[in-house]
Parts: sequence; C-alpha cells; structure tokens
Amino acid sequence: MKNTYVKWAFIIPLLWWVYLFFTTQIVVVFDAASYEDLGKMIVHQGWGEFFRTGPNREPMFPALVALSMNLGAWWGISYYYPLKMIGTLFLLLTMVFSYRLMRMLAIPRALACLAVFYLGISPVMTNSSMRLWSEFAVYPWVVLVVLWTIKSWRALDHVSDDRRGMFKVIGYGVMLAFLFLLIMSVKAVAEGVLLFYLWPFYWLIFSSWRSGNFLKAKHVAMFCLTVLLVFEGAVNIYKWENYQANGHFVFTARGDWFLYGNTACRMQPLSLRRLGAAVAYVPGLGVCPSIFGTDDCDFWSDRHAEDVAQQKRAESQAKGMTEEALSKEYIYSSARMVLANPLQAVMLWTVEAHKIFFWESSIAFVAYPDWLEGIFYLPWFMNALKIIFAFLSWSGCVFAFCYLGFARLIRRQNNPQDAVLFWTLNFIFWFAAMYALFFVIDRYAFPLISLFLVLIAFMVHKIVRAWVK
Amino acid sequence: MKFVWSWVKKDPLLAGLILLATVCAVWRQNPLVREITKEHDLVEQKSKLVTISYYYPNFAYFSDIVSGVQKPKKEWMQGYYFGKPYIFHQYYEKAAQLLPDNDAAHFLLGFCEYYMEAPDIARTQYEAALAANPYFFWSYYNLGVIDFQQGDFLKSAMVLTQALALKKLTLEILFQSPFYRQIWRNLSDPPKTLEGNLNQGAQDAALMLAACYLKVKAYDQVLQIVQSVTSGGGHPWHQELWEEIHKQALQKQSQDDKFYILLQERIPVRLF
Repeated sequence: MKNTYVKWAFIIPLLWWVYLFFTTQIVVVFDAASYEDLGKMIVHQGWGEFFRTGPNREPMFPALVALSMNLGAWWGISYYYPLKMIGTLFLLLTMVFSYRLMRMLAIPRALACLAVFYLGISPVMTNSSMRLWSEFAVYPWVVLVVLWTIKSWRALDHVSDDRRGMFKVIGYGVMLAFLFLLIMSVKAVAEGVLLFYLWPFYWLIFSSWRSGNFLKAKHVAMFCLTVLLVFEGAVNIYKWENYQANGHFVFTARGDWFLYGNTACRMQPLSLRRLGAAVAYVPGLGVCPSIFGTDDCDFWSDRHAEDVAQQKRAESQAKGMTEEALSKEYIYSSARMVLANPLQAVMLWTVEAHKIFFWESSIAFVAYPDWLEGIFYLPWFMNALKIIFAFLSWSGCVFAFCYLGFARLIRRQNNPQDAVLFWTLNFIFWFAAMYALFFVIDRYAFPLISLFLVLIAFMVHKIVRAWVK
Repeated sequence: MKFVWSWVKKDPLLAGLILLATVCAVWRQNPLVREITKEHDLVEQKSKLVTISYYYPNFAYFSDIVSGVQKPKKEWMQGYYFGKPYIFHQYYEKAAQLLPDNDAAHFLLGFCEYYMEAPDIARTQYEAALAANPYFFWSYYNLGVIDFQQGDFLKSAMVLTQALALKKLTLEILFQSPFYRQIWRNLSDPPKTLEGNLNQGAQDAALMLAACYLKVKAYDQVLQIVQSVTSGGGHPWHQELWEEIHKQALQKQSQDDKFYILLQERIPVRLF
C-alpha cells in the first residue's frame, strides 16, 4: 500500500509528461531566442566564440541547448525534443530529491506523495520544464543543496581529529561548492546567496570557539573555507576567461545596471499612494492597474527600471565614461542611495521579495493542444490557483519560521527535523532576498517551488496531526 | 503454437523483425496514438502563429504608408523592444522563417529590407514571394523597380510585363491574406484605397516598362505602350514623362541618364 502511493505519485506525472512531450511545442521568443542563438554559436563556433562575444548569459543552459542540438542532429529530429527530455529528467530528479527532503521532515508518505505528485503535474513546473528558458536547469540542484547542507551540518558534529576527518570536511565543502556552482551556472544570483546562506556555519565557528570546542570550530572553519575557495575560485576563473576574451571581468552581462535602475526607482520620495501601488503590484494579475491606474503601477515595472538605467547610461556616456567605470558607478550610486534611506530600502525590498510567492500559473512560451489551453488560459481558474498557492507558500514559510522559533524558545530541544526546516527556510530567504535587490519576475520563483511545496506539506502535516490529537 | 515457437527459435532475427513491424503497425493504428499525432501537428502549426504573435508591431504605421499619409523610413522598420511601436522587420522576418510558403510574409519582409537599404535581400524575398504565389502584382512591381534602379532594364521589362497582366487577382489576394489584412483593416475605405493604389502602380509599371524599352531601343514597343495608356481615356500620371518618352520614341532616340534618375526618384518600391 505504502509503495503504491510512491509508485503512482511518479507514474502519473510520467505519463502526463509523455503526452505533453509529444503534443506541446516550444515558442521561441525573447530570452528563448537568445538562448537558441547561443546554443547555435556553441555548436558551430565553439566556446571560444561564446566568450569572445560575451559577456553572455550564464553558461549551463546554452550548453544544454547545444547538447540538445547535437542530439537532435544525431537522431534526425528537432532539438526541442532532446531539450524537453532533459527538462523532464531534471523535473524527475527534483521530485525524487523533494520526496527525500519531505521524508527527512517526517512528513507521512501519503502527504509527501501528494506534494511530489503536484510538483510533477503543476502547470507551471511542466510548462517551465518544456520550454526554452533556463529555470528548469536549476530545479534539482536547489533541493540537493539543501539536502547536502543538512548532511554536512550533521556530519560536522562527528568528525574525527585526524587526516581522514579533515579530508571528510573538505569533501563536504567541495561538494557543496560544486552544487552551488551548478546553480551559479544557471542563475548568477547564487554568488550572493552562498555568502549569506552559510551564515549559520559562521556562527557555529564563533559559538564553538567561544565554548572551547576548538576542534569543531576548526572543522567548520575548514568547511567554510573550502566551500568559498572552491566556489569563488571557479567563478573567478570563469570571470577571468571573460576578461581575457572580451575585457569584462564579470560572470554575466546583466546585474549592475538593473540594480541601479531598481534602486533608483525605489529610493524616490515615497507617498502613501506610491507605496500602495508597490504593494498592489506584488501579486500581478492586473491588481495594481485596477486600483491605482497604469501610471502609478508602471512606476514599479521592470521596464521603468530599465529606462532609468538607460538614462543614466546615456548621461554617463555623454560625459565620456567607460563601460567599466559606468559599471562601478551603477553599484556605488545604488549603495549611496540605499544608505541615504535604509529604512525605505528594506521596506521595499521586503515588499519586492513577496513576489516570490506568486509562482503558480505563470505559464507561457509553450503552445498546448486546444483543450489544455482552454484550461490553462481560464482566468478565474488560474488566478484562483495562483492566489491559493501564494497563500499556502507564504503560510508554509511563516509556519516553519514560527515552528522553529517555538522549538528554540519554548520546547528548548532539538528535533532532527529542525535542521531540515531551518536550511530549507534559509535557502528560500536568501534566494528571495538577493532577487529582491533587483526585481522579482514570477519565473525567478520557479527554483523555489519544490521547497515551497515541502514547507506546505510540513505545515499541513503538523496542522492535521494537531487536529487529530 | 508449437510450430510458431519452433519457427521463432529457428529464425529469431526474422521473427523479431516481423514482431517489430507488427507492433509498429498496431502502434500507428492505435486511436490514442493517432489522436496524439494529430494534436501534435495542430499544435506545431499553432506554435508558429503564437511565436509570430509575440512580434506584433503597430500596424497603423504601415496603414498610413498605404494611404499615403506616411513615407517609409529606415528607422521605423525596426525596433529593439517588445512593446515599442515599430518592429516590422523582426515581425516579418520571423513570419517568413516560420512560414516559408507564405508569400505575404516574404513580400512584406522584402519591403522592410528594401527600406533598410538592403535591396539585394529585398530582391530574394520578392523572388521567394513570387515562387510561393506568382499571381501578385506588387511582388512583380517591386522586383521590377529594384531591377530598374539597378540598371537591369531587360529583366525589369520582363518582370513588369508580367505585373501588368495580374491586376485583378491582386485585389483578391490582398483581401484574403491575413498578413495584408492586418495592414488594410485600419484604412477608412480599404477597397477604394487598394484599388486606387493598384491603378497608380499599374500606371507606374507601364511608364517604367516604356522607359525600359526605350533604353534597349525597342521603339515600337514603347509606342505601343504609349498608345494603350493614352487610348485608355484616363489622364495618365506623370504626364510630362510620358510626353518625353513618346517624343523620344518617335525620334528613335534614347533618353539621357537624368531622365532615368528622375524616374527612379518618382517611382518608389511600394507596399501595395
């Protein structure tokens, strides 16, 4: 009986994917078109050209597109099919890792299966896994990072004080750095996430040292150093390659100007109406324009931020500023504006970060059979789904936070699940926080969907159990 | 059964191939598989239209060109962001790429290419448009104009002769094609404007044709064209040019280069 749940939680989505695999078509527009061009460039001109024409987008997804193109040419079919196969394979891995994470949280098998099942058939997950956008390439690694951090966190308690123990610590560190590199090669925001994500380890070094447990402090410090050195080493080698090939010491082209554009918009004098528009802009769905009108809402759009950054670029270029100096100017100006009014900055970052919860129903860039399109583009249905899952995701996070606080302050005891819950929350928090510095588009939330579903399942489990008791 | 099994053991390769062929045949006849295949084909077509739709420009500008309010400009043929008004080049380029058999997509891309100062690419697009639909006046006309401007008068004469035989079908094509409809539906009186433009195009084509014949010293053909145009009863456009051509043909003299430059300036590549 128990195994039957697991079996069907995976088999039904698999059958669904087979149907979608044969009936859907990728629509190549916007970013997808640039990924297609990059894939072609890698296939026909090699990686040298990729770097020469850079800085380009993060490398993993163009590499997957190039791989699909090679496979497609080999099998004599369109490269969309191998790409969809890779997408579904990544989704399957995400389901497996998420299931493991839920079992670590002692979520009952039936509930875990239900969450995994939804992960496999969710409109947004299937849509994003079968289109030419990069998000799906990061799904499994996000869950794996959380799983591996928990494993490392627990293992560091029992490391022997010998060479073998040291190698073990280094091994854990290298693996975590490697997993973060996988995320980084799809979403460059991971560079910032890693630095802050490791904060409990930094704290552990300090607390172990203060309590006289120097061995543990040494091991944790070694672990952190390994993670940061391996990760930053690889990232900087990549940046150096870019610098050598195209003169830009960066991982990817975007970032600084987008940071400036968004910061400049947010740090404008804030009226109550403008703040209201910012809050109403969070859920999307046309909520903001229906209350405040398009002018107030356009102020908070990514296009407005782009225009502001472009204006700054034009002004700086008129003054004869180089690209490198402009890049620095973008960052320093942003920092100056934030420091001038940090309260407003934090408040608007918090508002921005809440966009991460509105992930469901953001489907696009795939053509579906008519009957399915009829469902996927039913406004009331998809909006309801979006609102329900936004509420559940938010509640799941808040519940997990309160549960952990309760565990720490009132229960004063550690459950084995606390670490799992903590690291899941920690990843979500820093991922959302890093994106909130820039601008949160609904698809940026996709890598976190599996973690949201884990927290939702945990919340439902605890509530149901309390109810039954 | 025993017989079959003994045969399979005897010749497993052949048995395997027959089994595979049977499975394939049954598989293809399976109603579910057939339904999925059918859906796949429909969605494939739909995905092309959906892709093109993401590049929709603001067609009012092209409508204004047709009605004569605006003149085609290079900078208005392309834009860089979705949402900005003029991205005709990307739109028709995508349409021609995804719907290679659609003559209208090639024709309209040719128009953009011409005004983006790429007449040779425009020529290939007009040729592709004619390969897909050889009954459209404006494809011949624009091809003839490009040849005329590039000094290939014989080729231009050949193409323009074909153009002049296709006036009636052209209006039908204009009214049926969705790509043309996107442009003319913004006009206040589409039939009147399109027919008026077609008549003017035919007059211009005749004038260019006469000029081409004059250049290659085929004076009899020039006189024939002049006669057919003036005997039509209507007042031909570019009256003074017609008179010049007529005079030169009677004197069996070719025109000087200035005349051809003037003609090239007066007769542009047109939308429709």
